[in-house]
Amino acid sequence: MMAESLWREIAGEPRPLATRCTECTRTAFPPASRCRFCGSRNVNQVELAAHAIVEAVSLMGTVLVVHARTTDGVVLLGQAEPAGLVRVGHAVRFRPTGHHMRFELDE
Amino acid sequence: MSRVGIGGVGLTRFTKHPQRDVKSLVEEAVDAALRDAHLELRDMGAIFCGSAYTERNGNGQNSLRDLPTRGIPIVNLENACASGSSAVHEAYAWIRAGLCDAALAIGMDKTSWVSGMLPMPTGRWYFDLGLMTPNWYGLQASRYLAEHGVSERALAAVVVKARAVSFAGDAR
Repeated sequence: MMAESLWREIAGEPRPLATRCTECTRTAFPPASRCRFCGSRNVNQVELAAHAIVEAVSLMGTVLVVHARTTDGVVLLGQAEPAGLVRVGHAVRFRPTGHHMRFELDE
Repeated sequence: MSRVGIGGVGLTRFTKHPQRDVKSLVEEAVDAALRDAHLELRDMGAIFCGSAYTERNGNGQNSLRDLPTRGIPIVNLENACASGSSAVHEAYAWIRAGLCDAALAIGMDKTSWVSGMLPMPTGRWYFDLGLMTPNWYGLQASRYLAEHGVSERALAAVVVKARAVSFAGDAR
């Protein structure tokens, strides 16, 4: 999957993309041609909220990778900055750079 | 329905072995496991060999070529970090299915040729984040600690125990 298809800018704000299944109604990231939960091909691309809560963190060198659950309930994977400050439970907002999924601490 | 048990185990010390090849490490572990089980290689109805970074075809056949395995089917598996445990599961499944009475499961790899982290594939957005294999486990551990109120010290104690067992070369 191309990195460009992981998000889309809407009204100047980058929003993560996902697919919502019209049969089982579940939403999955990253977007795919089939539902990851039930296998249905009846999926629509949807934009997710740009705000999320950090659920897990893992530091490798200076890079912090997080799982963050958006306010609409989908878990995303990405880098988070500042690496030394982001903790589980923190609120973050989606701020991709280049080809990278990335989050910043929400103010 | 028959029950299946572990008859014996054997492993090499979990450290760098610059003077030894994978074959000699496998031979040592197999000898130890068979001795522990009070069995011979000829008692095995099948051999399952899991490896992920030993990049040869027929890793099991190559590693066991000097041992008396004639007539015993050798099946090689690659399943990343779960290659060894997948070999154990396959041995269990064969015995449980009645295909053999005893089987040998081997997990083998020598990764000390790598400097730093094991190389990750490129061209996938999640690896391009800088994500390495330990990060996946780090994410799971981090969430587990947060959800269950477990301290980092408690998790570290598990690591210390596991490494002590591996370093001693005694899985019992």
